Amino acid sequence: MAHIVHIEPDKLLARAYGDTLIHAGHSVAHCVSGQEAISAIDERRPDIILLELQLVMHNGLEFLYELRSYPDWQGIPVIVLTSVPKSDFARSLDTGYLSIKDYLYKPHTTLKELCACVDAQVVRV
Amino acid sequence: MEVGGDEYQKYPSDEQHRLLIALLEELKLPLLQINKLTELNTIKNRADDGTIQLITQQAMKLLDHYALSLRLANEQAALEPVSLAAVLHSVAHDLGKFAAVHDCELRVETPGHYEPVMAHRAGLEAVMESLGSSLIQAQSDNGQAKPTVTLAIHRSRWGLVAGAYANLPDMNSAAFRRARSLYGQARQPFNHILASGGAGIFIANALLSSMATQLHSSRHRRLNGLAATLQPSHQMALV
Repeated sequence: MAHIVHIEPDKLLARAYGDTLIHAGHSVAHCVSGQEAISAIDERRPDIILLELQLVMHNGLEFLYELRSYPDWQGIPVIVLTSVPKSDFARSLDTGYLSIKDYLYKPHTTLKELCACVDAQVVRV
Repeated sequence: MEVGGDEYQKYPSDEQHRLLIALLEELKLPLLQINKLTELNTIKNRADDGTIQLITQQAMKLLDHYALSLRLANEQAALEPVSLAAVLHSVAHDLGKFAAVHDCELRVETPGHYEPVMAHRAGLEAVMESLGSSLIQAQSDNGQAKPTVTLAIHRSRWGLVAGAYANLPDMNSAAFRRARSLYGQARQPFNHILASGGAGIFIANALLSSMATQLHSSRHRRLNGLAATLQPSHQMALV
């Protein structure tokens, strides 16, 4: 249904989320870093980006700013799926420029809820 | 106000407070992993392939190592002659499955003969295991093409250096110094190396402090890592 680029440094979590989304009928390209994600997006434009904010080297927020600096990629929907509570990033994320469709806090988001959120974005796209 | 020994123990030091916070942050990851993998197994109607059990064991070890660091901080560490090579081989055996789950190769390099060192055996094993598992996680977080962690010993002019090493160019003394000032306060004290908090590294440092030494950045062959320098017991070597 949708091609998803999932940026997640932890392999085991990536496996859990990736397998769930594939089981739901989507294709998933897993990246551990923002840099890797830029290459993956360049190779094949995703329908949705799933983004962990806590990354190695450059954090997810820095990746978002870089993503939106490319005119062709400004419209790609991003769902933040992170271990960081929203309160820690709230101000930085409340900009129309970054265009974040949803903020999912991992401990409070089941795999089924993630699928529902992705499906909702796919319908809109 | 005079504070006696018992009084002092009621109030954790700043270091212990920070270590506790770092540990609490670190435990989020294995708990999340267990939660999501369990949910995935339920969705797919299948049994655990051993991964969840492994994650649980590693998390329990982290707690045990932390508890040991607290105990050793409050009592005189019982030192005994310890073979560093034996410790590294034992740790490598224990970490083997954890490394495999992260598709990481684990090597041990203990060439030659080394004198035993006077150390707290369980503490030293906990140090090496904590370092090893942290670097395995770091290799995974960095998306290394062929992740490898090496547990190694070499001799320096200051003593025997035992530690964990990997292909992590940003693991240097400046990064370690910065991380030591940030742990317990920042989510990613090693943000160039680890996506998580690296509590295992600071627990290793706390354990070594009770053995009158400390963790330091180190190089082994062309690899960067973290290690402890311990004094060989020449008396034991002669026996």
